Amino acid sequence: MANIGTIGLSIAFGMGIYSVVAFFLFNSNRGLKYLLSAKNAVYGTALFTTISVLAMLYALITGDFSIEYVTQYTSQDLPAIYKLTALWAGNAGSLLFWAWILVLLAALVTVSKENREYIPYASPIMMVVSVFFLFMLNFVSQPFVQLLSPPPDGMGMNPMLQNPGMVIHPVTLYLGYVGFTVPFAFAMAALIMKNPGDQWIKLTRKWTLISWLFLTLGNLFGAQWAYVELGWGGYWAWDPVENASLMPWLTGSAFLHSVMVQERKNMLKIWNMVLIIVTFGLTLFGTFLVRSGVVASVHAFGNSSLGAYFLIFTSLIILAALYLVADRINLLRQGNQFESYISKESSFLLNNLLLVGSAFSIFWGTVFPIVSEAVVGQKIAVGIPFFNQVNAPIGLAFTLLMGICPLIAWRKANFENIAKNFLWPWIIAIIGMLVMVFIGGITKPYALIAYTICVFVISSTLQDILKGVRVRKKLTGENLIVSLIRLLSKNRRRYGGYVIHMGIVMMIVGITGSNVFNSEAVKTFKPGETAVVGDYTISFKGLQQTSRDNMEVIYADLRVIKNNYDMGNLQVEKVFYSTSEQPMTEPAIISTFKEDFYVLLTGWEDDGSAIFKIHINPQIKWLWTGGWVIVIGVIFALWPGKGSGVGSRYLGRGEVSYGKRVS
Amino acid sequence: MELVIGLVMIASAIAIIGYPLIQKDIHNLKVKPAKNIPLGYEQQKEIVMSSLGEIEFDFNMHKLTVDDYQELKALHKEKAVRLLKDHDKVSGVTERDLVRKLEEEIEADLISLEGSDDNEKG
Repeated sequence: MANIGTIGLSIAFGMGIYSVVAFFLFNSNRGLKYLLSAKNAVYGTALFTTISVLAMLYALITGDFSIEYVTQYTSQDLPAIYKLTALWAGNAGSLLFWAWILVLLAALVTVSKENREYIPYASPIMMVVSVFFLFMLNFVSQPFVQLLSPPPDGMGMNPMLQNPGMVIHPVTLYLGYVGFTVPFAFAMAALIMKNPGDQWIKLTRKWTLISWLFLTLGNLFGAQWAYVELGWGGYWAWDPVENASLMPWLTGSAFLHSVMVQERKNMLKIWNMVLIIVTFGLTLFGTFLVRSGVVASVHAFGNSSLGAYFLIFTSLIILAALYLVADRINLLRQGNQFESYISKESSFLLNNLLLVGSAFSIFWGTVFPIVSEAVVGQKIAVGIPFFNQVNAPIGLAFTLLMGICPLIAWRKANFENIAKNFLWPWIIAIIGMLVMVFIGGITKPYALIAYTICVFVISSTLQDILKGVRVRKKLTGENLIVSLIRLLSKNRRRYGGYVIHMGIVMMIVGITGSNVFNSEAVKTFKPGETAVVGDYTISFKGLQQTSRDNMEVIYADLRVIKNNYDMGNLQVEKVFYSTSEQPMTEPAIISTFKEDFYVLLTGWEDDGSAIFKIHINPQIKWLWTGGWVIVIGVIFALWPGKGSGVGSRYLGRGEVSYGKRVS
Repeated sequence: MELVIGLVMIASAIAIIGYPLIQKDIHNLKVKPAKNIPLGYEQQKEIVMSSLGEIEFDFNMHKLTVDDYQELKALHKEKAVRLLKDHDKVSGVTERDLVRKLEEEIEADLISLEGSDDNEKG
C-alpha cells in the first residue's frame, strides 16, 4: 500500500505540473488540444491523489505498521472511526487530506461548464496551489515513509483527538480553508483576463458562501470540541491556532458583504480583490502557524520545517496577486463612487472596516510573540484580555450594523427615512433594555449593551420583513400569507442573509452570557454527601471504575436537582488511555438554553471522597444553535432557482451601460 | 504486485494526458480569447425593469426620499425608453407611444418583479 500511495502522489505531482504547463500553452494560442490535455491532467491529479488517500485509509484501517505515519497515530485497539480520522491527525496526513480536497475542488471547477471562459486561467492557479501541496507531500512531509522493522503495534492517537469533534471539526475547517482558493483563483483569472467586473463574483458566489459556512462550522465545532474535551469550562482561549481560523472567517465575512456592493453598484473592485487575496493568504498563514512551531498552541502539530515552505509560498503567491492588482489598477478603478455617507454601501464599507480591523488586531496579537522575539529577543505573548478588550466593542458595533444595514437604501438615505425606519426597533430595544434591568435584574453594562443591540437587530430585521410583506400586498393585491411566502422566496439571497444574521445574534447572546455571567466552584464530596451550588443541589453517590475499548475509566455518579426539578444523573469521568500517561478529564454537562451545568472530576482521596469543579455557563447553547441557524440561512440563500441572485442595480447618473459579459 | 499496479498507474496517467494531444481532428484548432460583449436586449430590459420595480418597492419601504424616488424613476424610465427605441427602430413610433408602452410594461412587470432580488444579471 505504501508504494501505491507514494506512486500515486508522484504521478499526481507530475500531472499537476503538466497541467499548469499545458494551460500555459493553450493560453499562448498553441491549440485546443493543450486545453483538453490540461483539463485531463487536472482530473488525473485528482484521481491519483484519491488513490493515495485510499491507500492511506486502507493502511490505517488494517493497521499497516510498516508505514511510519500509521504507527505514529494509530494502535490496534483504537476504535475504527478514529483510525479513519487519523488521516488528518498528523502533519503529513493532514497535508494529504488538504491536498485531496484541493485537487477535487480543482477538478470540480474545471469540469463545470458554467466556468468555461475562466477555466484556462482559474484552473492553473488552483493547480499551482495544488502542486505546492503535492510538492510538500512528495519531498518534505511524506506520509508513506516505511519503517525497516515495523513494530507489532502503533503508538496510538492522542487521547484529546479521540472525540467526535475530531471527526467533523478538521473536515469542516479544511473545506472552509480550501474552498476560498476558488474565489481567489477566479479573482486572479479575472485580472489576467482584464475583466475585473462582477462576473467572477457571480460565478464563485456559491463557493464563497459554502466555504464561509464551512469555516463558520469549523470554528464552532472546534470551540465545541474544546469545550467538551479540554476540561477548562470554556470554548475559546484566543489560542494562535484558534485565531488562525477566525481571521479568514472575519475577512471572508467582509468579502461576502463587499462583493454585494460591487454587484449592485459597480464599486469597491480594488477592495474586493485585496480582500479575497488577504482571505486566501490567511488560510495559508493559518497552516503556517499550525505547522511551523513558531507559536505555542495546544492545537498545533508541533515544530517542523514545513512552516518555512508555507511562509515562502504564501509570500510569493500574495506578492504575485498584489502585482496583478497593481498592474490592472486602472481597470479596477473604473466604476461608481459613493454618493452619500449615509447609504447601504457606506454601511457595508463600515462593516468591512470593522471586520478587517478585528482581523488585523487578532493578527497582530497572534504574531506579536514572533515580532517581539525578532526585535527584543524575547517571546512576549499577548493575553486574552487584549483580544477581548479590542474585539468585544468591535463585535458589538458589527452586530449593531446588522440591524442598521438592512433598513438603509442603496445610493443614499436621508435622516427622515432613517428616523421612520429606526423608530420602532429602537423603542423595542429600549423597552427590552428596561425589562432586562428592572425585571431580569441585569446590571452589567457590557451584557446590557450587547443584549439591547441584539433586541434592536431582531426587531429591525422583523420590521423589515413585515414592512416588505405589507408593501408587496399593497402593490400586488396578494393576501398576507402569499405576500410573505413570495417576498421571502423571491428574495432568498436577502432573507437568507437575514436568517444568517439571526444565527449570528444567537451566537452573540451565547458569547455574552457565557463570558459575563459564568461562575465556578470547587467542591469536595464524601460518598452520599449533598451540596448546593447556585440553583443546583448535587448528590455524590460514589466513585466507580470500569474498562472501555482502549481505556480505563474512573467515574463519579452525581444526581442533580435544580429548584426541586430532577435534572437526572451525571457520570463524570477521568479516563486513562493505554497509550497515554496523562489522564483525560471528561466533563458531564446538562445543557439548556438558560445555562450549562458543567462538572469536572478533578481528583479523589483514599477515603473515597472526590473533588469536583463545577461551572455554570449561561446561554452557551445559544452559541451552538446559532451555528445551525446559519446553516439554514445559507441553504435558503443558495437554494437553486430564481431568488438566489443579487438584486437589481440602481444605476447611477453617469452609468451608460447595463453591464457586460464575457464571450 | 504493487510494481504492476504502479506501472499501470503510470501508463494510465500518460494515456489521460496524451490522448487529446494525438487526436487528429482538434490539433490545430485555436480558441478565441475571451472578450467583453454587451448584454443582449432582453437582459438589459430585465435589469432596467427590475430596477424600476425595486425603486418602487424601496420607496414604499420608506428607504427612498420623494426626490430620490422621482429622480431615480425618471432616470431609469429614460434608460428604458432609450432601450426600447434602440430595439424597436420602428418609424412612426413617437416617444409618447414608447413612454405609454413602457408604462404598461412597468405595470405588468411590477406584479412579477416587485421587490424581488431575483435578477442575477448586472
